Amino acid sequence: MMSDVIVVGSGASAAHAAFALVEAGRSVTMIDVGYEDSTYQSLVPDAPFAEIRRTDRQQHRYFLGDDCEGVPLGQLGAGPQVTPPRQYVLRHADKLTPTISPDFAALESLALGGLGGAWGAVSFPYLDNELVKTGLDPQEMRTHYETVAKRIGISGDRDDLLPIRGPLDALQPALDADHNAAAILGRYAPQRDRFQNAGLYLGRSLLAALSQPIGDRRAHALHDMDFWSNAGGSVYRPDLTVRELQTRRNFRYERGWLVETFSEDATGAVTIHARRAEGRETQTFTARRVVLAAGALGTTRIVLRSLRQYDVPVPLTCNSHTYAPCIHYRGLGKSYRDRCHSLAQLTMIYDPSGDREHLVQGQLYSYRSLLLFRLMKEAPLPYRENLRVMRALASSFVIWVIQHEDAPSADCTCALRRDDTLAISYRPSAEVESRQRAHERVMMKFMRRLGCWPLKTVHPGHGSSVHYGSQLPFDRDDKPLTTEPGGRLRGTRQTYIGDGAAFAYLPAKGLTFTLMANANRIGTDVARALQN
Amino acid sequence: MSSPVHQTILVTGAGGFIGKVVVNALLQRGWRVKAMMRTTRPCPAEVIIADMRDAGSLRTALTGCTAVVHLAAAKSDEPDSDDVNIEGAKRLVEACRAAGCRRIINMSTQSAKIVRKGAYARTKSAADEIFHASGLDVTTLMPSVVYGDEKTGVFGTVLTFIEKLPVVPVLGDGQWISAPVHVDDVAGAIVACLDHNKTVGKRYDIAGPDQLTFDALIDKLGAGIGKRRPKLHIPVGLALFIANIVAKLLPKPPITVSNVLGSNQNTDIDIEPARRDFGFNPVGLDAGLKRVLDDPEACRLARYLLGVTPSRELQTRYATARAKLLGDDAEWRFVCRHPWTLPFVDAASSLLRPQSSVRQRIFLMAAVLETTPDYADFFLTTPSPATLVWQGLRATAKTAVGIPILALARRG
Repeated sequence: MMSDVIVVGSGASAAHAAFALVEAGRSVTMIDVGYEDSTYQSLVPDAPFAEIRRTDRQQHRYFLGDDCEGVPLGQLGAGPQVTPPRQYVLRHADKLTPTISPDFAALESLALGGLGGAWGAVSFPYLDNELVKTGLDPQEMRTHYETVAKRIGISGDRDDLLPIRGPLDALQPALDADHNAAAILGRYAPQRDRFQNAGLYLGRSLLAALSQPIGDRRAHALHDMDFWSNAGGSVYRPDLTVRELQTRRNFRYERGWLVETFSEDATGAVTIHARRAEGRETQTFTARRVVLAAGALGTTRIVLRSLRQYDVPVPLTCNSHTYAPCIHYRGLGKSYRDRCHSLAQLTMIYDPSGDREHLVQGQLYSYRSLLLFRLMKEAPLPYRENLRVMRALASSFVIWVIQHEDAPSADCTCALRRDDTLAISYRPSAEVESRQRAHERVMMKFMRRLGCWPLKTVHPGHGSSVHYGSQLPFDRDDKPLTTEPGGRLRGTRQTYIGDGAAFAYLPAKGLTFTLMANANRIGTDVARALQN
Repeated sequence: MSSPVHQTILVTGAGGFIGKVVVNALLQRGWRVKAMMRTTRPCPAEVIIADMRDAGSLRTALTGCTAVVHLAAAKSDEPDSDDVNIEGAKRLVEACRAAGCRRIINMSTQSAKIVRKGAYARTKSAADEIFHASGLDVTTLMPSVVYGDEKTGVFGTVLTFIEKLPVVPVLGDGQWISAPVHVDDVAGAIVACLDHNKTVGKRYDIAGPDQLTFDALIDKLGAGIGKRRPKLHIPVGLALFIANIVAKLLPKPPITVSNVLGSNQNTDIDIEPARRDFGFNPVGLDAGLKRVLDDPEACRLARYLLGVTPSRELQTRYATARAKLLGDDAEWRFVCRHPWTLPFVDAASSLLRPQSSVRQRIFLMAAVLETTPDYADFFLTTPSPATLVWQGLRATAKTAVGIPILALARRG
């Protein structure tokens, strides 16, 4: 059975490309490995964090993991946000999609919903200039941002960030701020002018989390369990869209297949060659168009392999990021509010050049629901005292996550080797890194003015933001291994790049919301082209 | 194999150490259980107050029963041992006949096989003969040392000695051989005998798979709780003399003539017939001990972190994770030899060896303690920030003391 369009992958990009196509009446086959969590999700009670901690005798199973996979004994690994209930997101990716690099730790997903399953849900649209640098048309993108925002539900405020965050009309009211965020905003208000004169803006984060129900998804229950479960589907995850598509007659979900290559033929059909993720069986799928959205690195592999471009370096961008764990001293001795969430509370945007061309973005998180024991590992104190110190600090412990822009450069590339591993070389110049450190220092100076005392800065290493792009960048010029502005892979007739591999630039904002908007655009355009 | 569902069984001695476990095992197998005791105690089954010395009470207790598990016994050479054990057996047989109850599982003892018998062994041996001559469907089980918690029976006595005394007194030369069996396996054997008709009329040794001398057992228990103690062997003659005296002075003496005699004459223990006839498959001593003894490492770490002794469940959770994740190093072995150094080695390691096995073990225990409701209140309440100063001072002092200790520990 031949469908109109094959979508490869099921993450943020794939889900929205497929959704636009299905809505437009095209028949879509989604090819995906599609791992899911079958162990933990059903164990987590739909109850507030403190109540669960006090009553659930099973809690060690999802907090620590049946194989203690949630107890980080070694050095920094996948990051504390990949809790045992989320580890399915990374299952077998290291084996099935191997990378090798001396300086870059790449995380990929073969799960249903892709990396979106562990997404922080921060959803800022890009500014016009950021879209242009990414290779996208601002005017066109605004409508797709609004469409996706209505589809997934985004909550937030119209506050000081408004002029610098990118416009968005479809906005639900913000979720309640926790005690730290409320106090910090209170401190910011009288200092606003001083902050803005220095190029700093503070406001509520825009979050793909519902404050009002949409369809079956309910408003966020503020149980502070976001790292462990997503009861009621309040926080948007791409698998929600894929599951909704599975109820449509013109959508087919082919699970268990790892896509290896595509090939186009003279009749105008394109064929996908896939093999079983577990097993040797191979299979081909044929359609009139293909949208590759297997994650930037996954899509790059498929393209380079199909075009037999081995050992050819292509660009790689990644938002480098830095954690600044802080004590918010006015939170000391305070108790947690009963109702809060564990997503980003506040966003600080820094405009160092004053022209909005090189923004830096920081997100504020409160720590509590990631558990004290993890925190203790970072402090050079004997554990008995350590525990009592952390207990006293817990309610005032916040983390700022600072994220930097990235643009393609010759220093940062990846290439597919003949043994099928993706070799990554990521060595940003000293100048870039010292500029980033300088920006961080300015932001931390202003964090102190907000009452947040940074304890240290943690650089978790290249790749750990899990925002990758630019391998097959949008380009107006006819260059090999680039993507046409419309999304078609240069040199092909029916093959589209639906994910971040085509982004020519990664603003500091985080790309997931823009991935979805862009994928919606490509899905819409491909559907229209097929109709004509 | 007949299904016991909806049939009623009487358990004598149901309030005792073995009885409690047997009642649960029978309930689980689907029996309706009448739990016979002399005074009411909490029990998941219907409690019947009756006494082996009162024929009338036994007849009432057996009404409606199709089987009986006979566990009640006078074990401490009491003056009424004959009345309870021998006459009691006769009364029970009579009551069974009256109630039309044919099936009896009779709990005897390895001591019934020894030559030189005290009152307990003699009366139990006589009772066995009465049951098997009764014409009823009797199976007799002869267990070796039965263990199941850290307080009861031979294990309880030995563990108390190890905890409290500088030397462990041993009645006799310590070469007596036993094959300790876990109480869960004893209960399992009873349930299985009821299921297998070919066990009728037979006597089975019920013992663990590992046979060892009493001295070796003491060493094993000592190692299990992390305390090695020298043994003081009391010659049999002297031990009998002492037992005779205390028997006259105390109503429930801590040692009896039967204890002395029973732990100095070996018996042939053969569990093959039990394996063959009803699939008896007892747990080994090491695995069984793990169910019984506190994990010394888990307890030490939990006491250090929170000043608590964690539940057995948490100890197991820690031990399982530890075995899976962590190895040993010189520092940890040093801390095991000198437990008082733990806080100081931890403090110094926090600066100098943050990835050491000592640090990782405490970290793992912290994770286990944080993710249980048992201590959630401690973790979820916010103390006054003033505590930071105090904790900081303590940490500094400990680190100062700890640095030379850590240096010593690293040398092994």
